[in-house]
Amino acid sequence: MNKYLKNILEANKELSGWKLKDIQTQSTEVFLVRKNINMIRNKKVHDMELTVYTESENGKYIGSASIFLYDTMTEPELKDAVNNAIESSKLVKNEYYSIAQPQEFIPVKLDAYFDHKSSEQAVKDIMDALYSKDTKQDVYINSCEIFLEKTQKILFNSNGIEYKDDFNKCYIEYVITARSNGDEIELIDKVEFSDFNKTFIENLIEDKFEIAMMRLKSVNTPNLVSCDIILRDNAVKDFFGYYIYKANAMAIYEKTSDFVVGKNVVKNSLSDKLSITLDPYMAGSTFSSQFDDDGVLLKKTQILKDGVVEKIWGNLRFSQYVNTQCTGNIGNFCVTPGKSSYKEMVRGKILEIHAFSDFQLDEVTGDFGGEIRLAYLHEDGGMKVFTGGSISGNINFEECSVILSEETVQINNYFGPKYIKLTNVSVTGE
Amino acid sequence: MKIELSNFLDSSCSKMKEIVSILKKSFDYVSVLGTDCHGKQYRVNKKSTGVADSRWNERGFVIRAAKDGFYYEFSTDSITDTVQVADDFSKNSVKAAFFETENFKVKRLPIIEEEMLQADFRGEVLLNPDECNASQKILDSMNNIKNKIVAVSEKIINCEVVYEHVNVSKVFVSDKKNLSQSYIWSQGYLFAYATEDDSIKYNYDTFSGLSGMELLKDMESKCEDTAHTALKLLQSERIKPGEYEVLCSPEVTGLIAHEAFGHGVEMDMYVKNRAKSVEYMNKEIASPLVTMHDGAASAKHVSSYFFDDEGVLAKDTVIIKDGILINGLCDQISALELGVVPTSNGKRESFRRKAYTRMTNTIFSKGKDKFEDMVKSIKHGYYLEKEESGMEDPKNWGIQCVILYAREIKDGKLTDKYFSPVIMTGFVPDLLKSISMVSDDFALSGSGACGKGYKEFVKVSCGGPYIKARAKLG
Repeated sequence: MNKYLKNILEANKELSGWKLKDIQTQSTEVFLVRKNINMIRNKKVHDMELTVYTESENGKYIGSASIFLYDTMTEPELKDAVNNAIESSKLVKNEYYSIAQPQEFIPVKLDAYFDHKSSEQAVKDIMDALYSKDTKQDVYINSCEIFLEKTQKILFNSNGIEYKDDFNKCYIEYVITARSNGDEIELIDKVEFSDFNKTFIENLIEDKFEIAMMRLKSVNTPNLVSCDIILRDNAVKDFFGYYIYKANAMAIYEKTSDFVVGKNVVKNSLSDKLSITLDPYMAGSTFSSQFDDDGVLLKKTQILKDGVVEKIWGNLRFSQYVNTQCTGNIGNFCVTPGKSSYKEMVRGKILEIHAFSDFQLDEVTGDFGGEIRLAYLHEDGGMKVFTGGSISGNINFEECSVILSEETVQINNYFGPKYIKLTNVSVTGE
Repeated sequence: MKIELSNFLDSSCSKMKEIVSILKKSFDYVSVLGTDCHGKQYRVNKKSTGVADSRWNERGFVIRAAKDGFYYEFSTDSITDTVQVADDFSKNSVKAAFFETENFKVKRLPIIEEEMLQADFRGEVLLNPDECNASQKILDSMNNIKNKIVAVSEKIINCEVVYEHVNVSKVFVSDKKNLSQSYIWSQGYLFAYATEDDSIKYNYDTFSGLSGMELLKDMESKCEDTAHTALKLLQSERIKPGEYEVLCSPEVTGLIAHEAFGHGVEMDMYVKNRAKSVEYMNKEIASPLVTMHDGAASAKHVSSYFFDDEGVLAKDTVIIKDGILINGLCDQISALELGVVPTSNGKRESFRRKAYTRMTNTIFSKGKDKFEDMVKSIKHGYYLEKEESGMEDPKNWGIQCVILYAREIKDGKLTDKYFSPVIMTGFVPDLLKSISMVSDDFALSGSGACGKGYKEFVKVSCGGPYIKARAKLG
């Protein structure tokens, strides 16, 4: 920690506490169009975010203010920045909460491929895996951007916390083009992970190639008005985000959630009973961490059990406000899979949506929807391929039941059902 | 009040020039962009207050250089030791050779050609949020707004008042260019949350511009309307899926301009053969009533800079003129590949990120119709009032616009019947060709951020007049 900064903070009598997030990041970035490298970039940056706390009216209230600090700040500039932050925090009168106390911290390192390779070699390996299936003329990777970041994070606070973590983050955004008889379509997708798995990448691209070829055969979605649908992959993950938000202490404190422990939150009696666990140490996730930004040590926590709220989760401040034991901010979540197989789900008439332009779920209201980029209508054992139109619904509509698949998937910080079936969803088309 | 360039950048200019000078000995082109953006975000709701530095804050440098036609970039927060920085840059720049294999080839482009140019731009605001005691004044004003919102009804369970300002300072130095700019933009949000029985609905309004604390006055004048509309949304219904005549507010018109068409003419998409608009150049793409512009010089709003993040001076680009597509938008590197002139649309999320072709202020020009006449002309349709989000599809020209709420128009009258949320979809040329009336009003909005794909968020504004069109709603 910057000694001058530490001296300023320790010498200030108005402060009741502080925390400092210190992050050093190096990245290697490669930008490809087809198989041409259009640009290479590197980044080396040091970020510091300081939060200062001041108490007022004999500890009835606490104020805080957060600022970014830079290595290039002169000493007078640094002092001014800290003093300004203290003045700002004195204008804030929030209900009192305490900041984290140090606990025994034993760093656990999840083994990661990227730790044993130079960034350049790792990116090269990713490029080889991405393009290993790119051998066809009619479907190919149009363009691709690869970002590999190696980061060291240290968290300090005025109570003596000094927790350190090293982690890797790989982000890939890619576009697939498919063409036939002069027609061309594209799919855009992203994938994030902290550990490299060659087979995962190869299968991902192969799967997307197949979906892109199917989109070429698509016709406009008919106006189905109301229909049972299947969501898959990212849309499933986004869908469950509603429950994560509603079970959070901040949403409860700010009255945008009415979740309480013991409340049954699955309203339709035909729905599968939902169980959700927050897991801070999920392998391969870029959100895995042993501690959060307040310095709370994290552990596995079940928040929903069989459709009933088991635990309200949240950061240090809001957990104190709603009077629940603090779990800290946990970035990964697991949903217990259901008992229905994909094969069972596609029986009857059902619209399986493979790709949205951008699936949206409003965490406050439960409204969801999006434009369909690719959907399969399964009916009487046959299948038609559609594009265009949109779906919309609300998680809390009583006529809408939610069935979870037994097949599972991991998407960065999510592990759980790969598919969910929703009944009676509004579908707009031609 | 004039906005001065940051002292940090002012004192870094000589080091930026030194780096250009050192690297120019071994590279064909070198530029350095320095950024120092600082501001604060204030949040007030019914139960708590927050003050923090804006997430748009940044301070650092990006060095770009080309050798034998290959462009390499390095982002760093410090150039104090210029010799070391130049040495690291040179060592890292040779990485292209490491990645070049039988399967992957390095793309070589022409070298950027520049003309000698030295210029400085300083923006102005009425009330500078960096002034002494500004935080106290800002929070007082926000608390007053909060109190007004929650006083509207007991059904307003919470509200959120957000005000943010960012002081942007940038310096661009190359062999031939020496540019500096500083200006302030501000944005604000009002959220009102209403509940009844088990239902919860919210409404929001946004505010933005090249302004300072004066924005708070606009927020205060609107705040009770924000709450009243939230209450109305408690009775909102779901729309029956179908195709309807629609009347779009300037905000929704802007969303259409931005999502439906703006992204489709970003010419880095042309380089990747990802844009359908290539097929329509110099052809009819929209109703003859439609003229569309984009440019940092097209309007005075949050994306009105003097030069872009590649040192290209601001322009006003006419994209569609009287329904005919005539121009795209282009960053500098894409322009080299396409052999066109860059349009000053090369923008970075921050010094840490690559520059892409990005929109600035994207607008439909106003027409001659009156709003009242437009409402009267619709037997049954919807007034799409408040946008929520959108997503581009430059290759296939699908459009997705999520509208927070729409109001029914029946027998030429705007009713008080609300529908929420509404998803508007369709094929871009169909939507643009269906525009049958364009009002003589004009408004821009520039809160939030625009992404490219799933990332690269930058400030943009968009807007225009009220338009009447046909669209699929669900």
